Amino acid sequence: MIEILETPPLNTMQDLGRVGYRCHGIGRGGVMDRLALAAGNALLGNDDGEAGLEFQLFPVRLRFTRETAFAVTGAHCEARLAGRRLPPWWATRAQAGDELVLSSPRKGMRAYLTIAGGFDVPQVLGSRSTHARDSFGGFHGRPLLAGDVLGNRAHAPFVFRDSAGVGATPAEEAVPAAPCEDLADGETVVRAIRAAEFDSFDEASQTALCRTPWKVTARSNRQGYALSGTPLRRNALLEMRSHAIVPGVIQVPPSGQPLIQLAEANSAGGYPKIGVVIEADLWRIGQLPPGATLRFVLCSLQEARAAEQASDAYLASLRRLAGYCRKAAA
Amino acid sequence: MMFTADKIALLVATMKRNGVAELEIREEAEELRLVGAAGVRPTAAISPRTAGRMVSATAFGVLHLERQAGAAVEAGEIVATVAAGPLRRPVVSPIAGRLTRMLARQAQRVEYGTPIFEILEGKERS
Amino acid sequence: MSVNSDVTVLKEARVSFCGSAAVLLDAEGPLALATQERIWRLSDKVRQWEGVVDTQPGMNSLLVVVDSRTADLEALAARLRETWPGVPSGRTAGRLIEVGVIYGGEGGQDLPEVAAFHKCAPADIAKLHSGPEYTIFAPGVSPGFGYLFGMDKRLFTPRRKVPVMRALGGGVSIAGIQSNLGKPYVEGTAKEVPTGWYMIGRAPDVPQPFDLDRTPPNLVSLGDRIRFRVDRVEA
Repeated sequence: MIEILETPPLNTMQDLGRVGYRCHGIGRGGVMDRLALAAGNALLGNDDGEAGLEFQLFPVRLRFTRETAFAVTGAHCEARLAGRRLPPWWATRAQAGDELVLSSPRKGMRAYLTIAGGFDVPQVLGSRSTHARDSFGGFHGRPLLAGDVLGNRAHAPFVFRDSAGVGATPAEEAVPAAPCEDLADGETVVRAIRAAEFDSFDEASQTALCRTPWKVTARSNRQGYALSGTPLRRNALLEMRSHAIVPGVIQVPPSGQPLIQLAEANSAGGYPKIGVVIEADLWRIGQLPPGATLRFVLCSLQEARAAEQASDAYLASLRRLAGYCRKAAA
Repeated sequence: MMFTADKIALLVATMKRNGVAELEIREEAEELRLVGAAGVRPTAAISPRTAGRMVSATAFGVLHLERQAGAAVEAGEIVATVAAGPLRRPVVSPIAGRLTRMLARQAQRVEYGTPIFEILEGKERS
Repeated sequence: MSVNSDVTVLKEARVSFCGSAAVLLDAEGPLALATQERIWRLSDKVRQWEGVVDTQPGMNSLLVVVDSRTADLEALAARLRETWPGVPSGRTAGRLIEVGVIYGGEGGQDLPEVAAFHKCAPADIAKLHSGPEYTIFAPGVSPGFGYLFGMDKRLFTPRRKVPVMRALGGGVSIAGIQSNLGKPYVEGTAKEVPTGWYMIGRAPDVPQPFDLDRTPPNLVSLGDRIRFRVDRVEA
């Protein structure tokens, strides 16, 4: 069991999200960094989609009330277990009474805590993700608070062959981003596919989408990121009808400053779409703090598929190799 | 599993029989490196000039330093990791003390027994 | 492409990729019940196709979400394009729900602004708004009464350029040629959110449209109808 000792607001339990409930206006939701969550689960031998705690504000302090194997992946925060520093993307075993402290990340934006067996909360509409807007799912449908006690589900007991545990090469090192011309230091590249209204933007704007940098503004959260840069203009200003949208959609409101809808996006929207960031790169956005700079690269469906296969291969290899580093315990 | 215990035992036997000192096999993300007994340098014999003990790699792969020379560490603390494919395994300090010298470089390929830090025993008060 | 009430109207249906795991069909022509009935039918049909994990009708559109690891998006887009023209309209009329509305006043604070825009009295807006029967055309941005169709075109009010903070709980709002009925406020959620819509009234006794303690959790379905009853006009 884990007791939350200290947490800022807006940290929630999330998994890979809810699929199949769009008829009720329920979008996918789930973690902002799917790869980090899945990697933590792979290190522990859980299913990829087991729920974890998504921390986006720090510091976080919690106590393990009994011996527990866990992993911390995602943003590189200084993680200390019983005062001892853990490498990034690391799985190890906490002893009863050990405290885990996560400090503000040096790199990245969101860190994930996964535990062996997964968290013991009921699935709501097929998922353990917290649907904050409508207060259901996750841990009592709300963000975590100090004093919350979270249990894990029963699992086959195991020990790590190295008692210090085992880690993963962080996804940003193991899964390369798309190449991009004239990339400046510190810029993050994500691939996007042209969306329905791409052709309605003027030529200068179509070019600017990929050739100019986009700053992540302070108005960026789990619902979406508001970007600032060269305003994007359409050839004609027409109202759009409300339509269903997906995480990753790059909408352009009348201001010309794009919005990327993300994990907790509404299930529908009404702004024109210039592109949609591919699934395999969404996690890169989830790790960008306000102030970071983003670049878009247009890609084909084939390239999107190849990118997804690269992530899948990383996870499959990690899962297999991590399996050799655990052994069943009596 | 690509490299089973049986498979490794067979490889080792073959190496011995043919006088092969070192063997490296790489498949996908997995790497296997077998070094004959003569190739494994016992850590105690590495540098008789130094008074400190060594923190050495316990796996084959690419080194990622977690701590730097000068850092005070506890027994069991992870001072570096060694990556093979997407997996990282720990290099832990055997004793409490201060890391006095770095004996390997970041991103260097290391093998079982490669010394990484020299450590001077003793719990410091600060 | 032509313009109808400042809204994009397509001459032919368009199928586009919506990222690497979804396809969007935008139907031809203006918003109409007959077209929307075809979209609902298409939605039900496509849900059964292999590789499809979810579908969501929009206003005159349908989003189809796939498992990108098993589905071929190009093939799916082609199949959608082929299937759409043959989908028939027609459907049994849904349930009718009557909702009492207090137009204007607290929660309906934008009524005077809307009345001024249309150069008429607040009571005229209430009358125009409560005249027709509204049909639930598509799921909304979150669980609720969804997007409603049927508003009198004379009430067309362009969406605000700059969003304002408004409490949506139990509120009746309009924007463009659409009207919206907010579900009752849920304790613990944001009271006010930024919106470009105009709040013209409140429905104090509106039932909770989505409740997980109920089976099924949704009170209304696509095709159900809502009639607004003028209980009072506060100006």
